[in-house]
Amino acid sequence: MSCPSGKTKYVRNSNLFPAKYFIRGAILLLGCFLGFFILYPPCMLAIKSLGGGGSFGGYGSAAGAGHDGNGAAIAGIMRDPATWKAFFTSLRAAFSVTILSTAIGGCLAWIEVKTDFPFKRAMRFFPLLAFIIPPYILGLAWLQFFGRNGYFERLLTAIFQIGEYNLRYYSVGAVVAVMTLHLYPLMYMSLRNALKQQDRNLERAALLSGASLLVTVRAVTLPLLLPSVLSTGLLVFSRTMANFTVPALLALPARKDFLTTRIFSALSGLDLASAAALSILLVAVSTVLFRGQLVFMKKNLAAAHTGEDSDGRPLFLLGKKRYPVMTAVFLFAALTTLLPLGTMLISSFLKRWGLPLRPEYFTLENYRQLLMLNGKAAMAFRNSVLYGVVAAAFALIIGGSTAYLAHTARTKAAGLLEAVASWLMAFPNIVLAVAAIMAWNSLPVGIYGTPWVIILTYMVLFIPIVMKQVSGLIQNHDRSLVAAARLSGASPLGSFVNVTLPAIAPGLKSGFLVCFLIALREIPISLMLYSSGQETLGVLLFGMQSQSYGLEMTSALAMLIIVLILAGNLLIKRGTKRIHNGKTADKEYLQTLWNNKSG
Amino acid sequence: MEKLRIKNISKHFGTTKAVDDCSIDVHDGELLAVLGPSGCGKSTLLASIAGVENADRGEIILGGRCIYSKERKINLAPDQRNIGFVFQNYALWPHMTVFDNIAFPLKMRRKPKAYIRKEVGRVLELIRLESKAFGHPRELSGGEQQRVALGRALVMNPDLLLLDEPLSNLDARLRENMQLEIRKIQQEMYLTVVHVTHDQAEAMAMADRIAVMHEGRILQTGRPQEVYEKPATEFVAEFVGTNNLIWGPAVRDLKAAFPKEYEAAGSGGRLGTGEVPQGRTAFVVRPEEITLIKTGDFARGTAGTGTITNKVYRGAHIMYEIRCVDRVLRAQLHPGAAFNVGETVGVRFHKTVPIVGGELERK
Repeated sequence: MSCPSGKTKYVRNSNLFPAKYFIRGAILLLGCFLGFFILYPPCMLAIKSLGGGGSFGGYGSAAGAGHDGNGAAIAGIMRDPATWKAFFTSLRAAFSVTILSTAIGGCLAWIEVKTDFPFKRAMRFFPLLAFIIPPYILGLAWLQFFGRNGYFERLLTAIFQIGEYNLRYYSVGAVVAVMTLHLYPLMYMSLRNALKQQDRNLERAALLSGASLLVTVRAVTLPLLLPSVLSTGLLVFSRTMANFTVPALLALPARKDFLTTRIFSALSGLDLASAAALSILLVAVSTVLFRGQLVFMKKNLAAAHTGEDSDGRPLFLLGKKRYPVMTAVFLFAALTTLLPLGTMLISSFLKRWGLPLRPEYFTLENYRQLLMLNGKAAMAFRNSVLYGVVAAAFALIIGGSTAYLAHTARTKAAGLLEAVASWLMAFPNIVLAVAAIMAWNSLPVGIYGTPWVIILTYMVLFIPIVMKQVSGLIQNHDRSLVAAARLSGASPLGSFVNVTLPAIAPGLKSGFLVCFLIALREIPISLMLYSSGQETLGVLLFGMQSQSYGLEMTSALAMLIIVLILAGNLLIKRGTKRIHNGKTADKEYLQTLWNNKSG
Repeated sequence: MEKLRIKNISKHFGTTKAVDDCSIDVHDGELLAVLGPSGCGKSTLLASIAGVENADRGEIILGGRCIYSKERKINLAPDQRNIGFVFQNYALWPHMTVFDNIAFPLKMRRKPKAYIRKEVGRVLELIRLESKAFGHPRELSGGEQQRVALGRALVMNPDLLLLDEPLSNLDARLRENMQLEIRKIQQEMYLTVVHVTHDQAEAMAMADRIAVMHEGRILQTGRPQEVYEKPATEFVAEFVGTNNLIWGPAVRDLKAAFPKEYEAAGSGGRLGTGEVPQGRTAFVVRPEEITLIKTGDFARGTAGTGTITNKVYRGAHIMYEIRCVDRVLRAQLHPGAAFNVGETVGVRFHKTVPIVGGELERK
């Protein structure tokens, strides 16, 4: 008989929130703002891609086959076999990364959730670490380990006296390996949650019906897991497609083009129309993938079992196999995280990269030079922090108020606003940068060339992230809490400040931190948009090798960035722990990590 | 004197009428219970009084001040109405301590700090939570949270206190204690209260008057005893207590309105005279107004006959279900009288109450 919780009873036509004209005004204002900063750049991108093609032939193609220089750039790009070669290279790599990530992540997740594996906490730590390290840095470590005169070669020489080996460390395969190391944790985290949410009794029932363990996994566990695998798989796929830095580092030297590196080359050749056209192609793919991911995510939600019972007998007891399994797991963990980190750490203390590892060749000079107050690194650090903080602050205000309005006003206009604000979530960072060039380059009042280009593009990148952090909290914010404040005598503003804001503040805080961390590790946007004096940490890291600094300096900078990122993540984790007690804290933190979009 | 006057309030959600032309007066210092099944519109009515929801039509006057009027285009914001509200889910702010939760209305009224401390202290004493003043709501039990919500509503000296099923989330024993406690506080402070509930026992126990609501309309308003003994409509009769209803023939004269097939059981005294405006008359037979008699202990024609179909032991009494003529009657008897399932018994009504002009559509 009792009414089902008073949660949504005081919703419609309510008197609780600011007057209608105020909300309408706010929606209009935000609409103009978002229209200008979010809708306008992609529009310019589309227009430019329809414009006349430049002379961009690309070094990989047969002297710009199909380019006549008059037709629409997009048509020229579509006719260019080099485009399709790059497209299929990207596709193939993304597919391989997805398959490998699913296999690795799935195995680890299954072992953790369904067996009596002894060191589960330690096991959880390594994928997190691997995911936090920017993929470009993983790529650098790969080069230092497997590259010419790398540590692997030296090990082989020292142990087996073999000087030569045949690993193509610059190749598409290298990109696949590095991207897998970076992205398998996504699959692991997602499948771990999905497995944990599965009702254990489903599997027990299968076992009790006489099914063997293998049959149970095949007939019960896997089908239930499929939506998660598909949705996260698409995410991994699109992240690989969207990545620019790793292909630029590991595939370009082998003259293999990815879609993203082709965009970069077109930009370098000042062929804006071709860059725009290629961006449109990439966005088309990303958008399809993103939509697909949403579909599977919804299916997954429908299948989710709410009760998370972690107690009780594990499905599978490892028994004697526990030691081999343990060895395999930790060996993998060490090889994929500690080895790259160790490599970078050692290199960062070397006087010059390639020197033998003898005490007399170690030095603190690299760090000293980096940390010098008037050095390049200090400036890059200052720029990254400044751009990150300003952009995150804007994103906080815009994204936060959009999410709030979308939830309180619930009109079509507010819904549209939310859709627009989160639209660019599917856009690869490099495309955001190209769109920014197209948009702000052609404005009469130039912000192009000022730091504002980078800041605005960061803001566009951050807004959906902030909204994701906040909208869950706003949706769960019980309206009767606001009603209670209003009845207690608080004005609309008073109840917002005293009741609503404290409720969403944790989301704002963690959103801010996540954005800030992205600014510390982000490369493509600032790389495409910076002018002299606006170098960020990412630009510096990316360009160091070519600027007569050796790998040792690059490593030192990479180590500094990693330390900063680790510190930031600790802060976020502490924050989520404070809001959510124990059990859900982990999940919230992972949710936060999800948005780490960079590279 | 009326403290609260609700005149012709209506509220629609799309095409459904949540509140349909409701009018109630609540006297100063009175506790009025709005009683009805879930979904009857009682919470919407309450929300309209508070201003949390905007009514579509009508007028609300509180303490001589018009707080809502469609015609006069008056619609005070919730913070202008000085109404205390206790929510079903308590709606305590999780990031504030108990003290801060209770102090909030005073802070919003910009009272001096010393005054706030004193007043909150007084309220904390009233709700017996002095020891938990600096705890957070999540550390409290359901009953304690409920008292904090009550304290927050009381601290502002409201002109009117609205309770939206505040006890429905508590277990039975706690609920009874809280009923008494709220009633005591209400009487001590001479508060005017509108209490929404679906629990008729709770309404009976607490209220000075009850308004029975169904499908957005108020069917009957009266003292608990009145509502119980003289239900105005069939719905009221069935909702307030587990009553038996029997229907007479469609006649104009009340004298002839009693159903023939139950005549042997007796109508329990004179039917009175009068005219039935239209249709059939329903008669309420309360379970405690039915006696059962062993076969052979009554003369033919002095009692109706029925067969016992079910028997439920309830401690203080036994509830029998008897198939009698065309329906199953419920009779509540002293445990001393022992009948068995399947037994044929005599049935006698001590008292029946006619409902004249009620809704006569029937299942």
